[in-house]
Amino acid sequence: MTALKRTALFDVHRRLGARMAPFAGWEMPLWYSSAREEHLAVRRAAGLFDVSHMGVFEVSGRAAAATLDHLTTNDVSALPIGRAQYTYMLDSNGDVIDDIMLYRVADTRYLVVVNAANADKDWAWFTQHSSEGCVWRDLRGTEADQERRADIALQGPRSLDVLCSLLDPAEAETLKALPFTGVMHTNLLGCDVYIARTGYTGERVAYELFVHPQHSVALWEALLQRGSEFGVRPCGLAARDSLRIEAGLPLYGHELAGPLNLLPFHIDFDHFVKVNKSADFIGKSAYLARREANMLRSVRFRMNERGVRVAKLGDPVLDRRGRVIGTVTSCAMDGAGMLIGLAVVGVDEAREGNTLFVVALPERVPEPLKPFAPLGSRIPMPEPATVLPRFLSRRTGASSAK
Amino acid sequence: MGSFIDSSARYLKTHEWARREGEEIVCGISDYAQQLMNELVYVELPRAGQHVKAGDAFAVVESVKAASDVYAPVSGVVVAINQALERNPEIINRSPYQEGWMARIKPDNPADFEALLTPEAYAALLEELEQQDTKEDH
Repeated sequence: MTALKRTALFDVHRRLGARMAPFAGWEMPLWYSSAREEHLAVRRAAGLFDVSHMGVFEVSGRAAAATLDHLTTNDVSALPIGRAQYTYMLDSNGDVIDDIMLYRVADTRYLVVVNAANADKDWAWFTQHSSEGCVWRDLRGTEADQERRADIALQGPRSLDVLCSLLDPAEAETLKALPFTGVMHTNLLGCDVYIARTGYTGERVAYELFVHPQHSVALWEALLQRGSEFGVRPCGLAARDSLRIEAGLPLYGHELAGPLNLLPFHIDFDHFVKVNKSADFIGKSAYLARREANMLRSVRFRMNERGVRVAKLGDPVLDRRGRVIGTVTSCAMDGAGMLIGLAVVGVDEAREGNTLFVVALPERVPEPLKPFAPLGSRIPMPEPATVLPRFLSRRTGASSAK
Repeated sequence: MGSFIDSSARYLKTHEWARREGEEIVCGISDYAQQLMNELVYVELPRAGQHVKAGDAFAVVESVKAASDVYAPVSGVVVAINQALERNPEIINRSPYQEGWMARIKPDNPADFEALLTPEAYAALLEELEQQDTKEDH
């Protein structure tokens, strides 16, 4: 086993009493005190996340846009300076290599933010498929020196107030005017920082800060200290997962690629694949053929009752006749303490309000039920769940906590 | 992280507590254990009337991120279970030593209780665990 990597904030997490756990090769905070309270803090105030395990690359040069347009599915030529776009890298089979964010920070310069677990694979793919007039830099590595970037996320309705209280008044005005997916380059507490209005929690008022890791600790502590007046809490990976599940957002390896080999059209994210853009992109024809043949669709669900087992990736979903109609891809606890999840089911079963039955298989699969079974023996119960709207309503972020 | 130890209870190395109440032993999981698990979502309890052996995995607790067996502190007959936990497992998070009790056992041999860890010994165990935890950092 190779040693786990640690972010610049590792000691800060330990000091805050975080429970640490391995994630994508990194030792990351799972929660600080209560995952559910952290989830609620993001919906009601704001939460601070260490996401500096994410891969951050930079591509620049006159051919940068054309290269990205060839290697990703969204329309890079339509991305204005100072805006970000969510997009996919596909291979020639149409399989998802990764889901990523592109930030156009200058005319011919883009930040590329990728999943930690895929960062090395993505870097190899980008650099192998790059073209002349295009310079790639890995901003995780020491060779990037002063240009290194680590991602810290401040997400939730009060995040704007916290940032504005720390910025120069003129810069605060710029931030207030920043549209969703906008990105600005500024100075925050003496740190050179890109602030982007993006995130992975389903919040519309939500920011990611890209700073040199040598400033991570000072910035984190300042945000937390100032944020305490606004109800900001540090949040771990458990809350990050429950928030994105509640929002209906995919996680690579679960709702994208993974054992079910899911694609954007399965999860209602097909509009990030611009098959009509002028540039041809790798995987386009294979993607189109698979979309044509598709019979599955993802749903968001909530378990009807409390006190039921947490489903995991791979657990079966049944109809009320006991027929397998789908598969769970993710499950977590929402702010109200109810289990919510994502699953893929047959397209006919995906309608809102439909009742599904989820069998959360225990780690040790028990003996099958036989006649004259002894008292006290158990079999996994199919537990009822209700299909929710595919995405959390953004206007009422706390709607699930009725 | 700091967890509470009920000084009137005895403990297992696996973070169960047991308290003598009359002729019965009441048991559950410690504050340390519930903190380690975080919010519990599922509890599997033994059946009343069931005979359990000390050290048997006789219950299960699950959170979103972890599942753990719960071991019987003494051998005996389960005389009562806390059924409220089945629909509201988070009671254990809120009150691990009182409302969050899991089972009452009538021990085969009341002296078995004396063999369990004293609160002092359990506190020393937790301290040791914490030190190991910080040692891994260096």
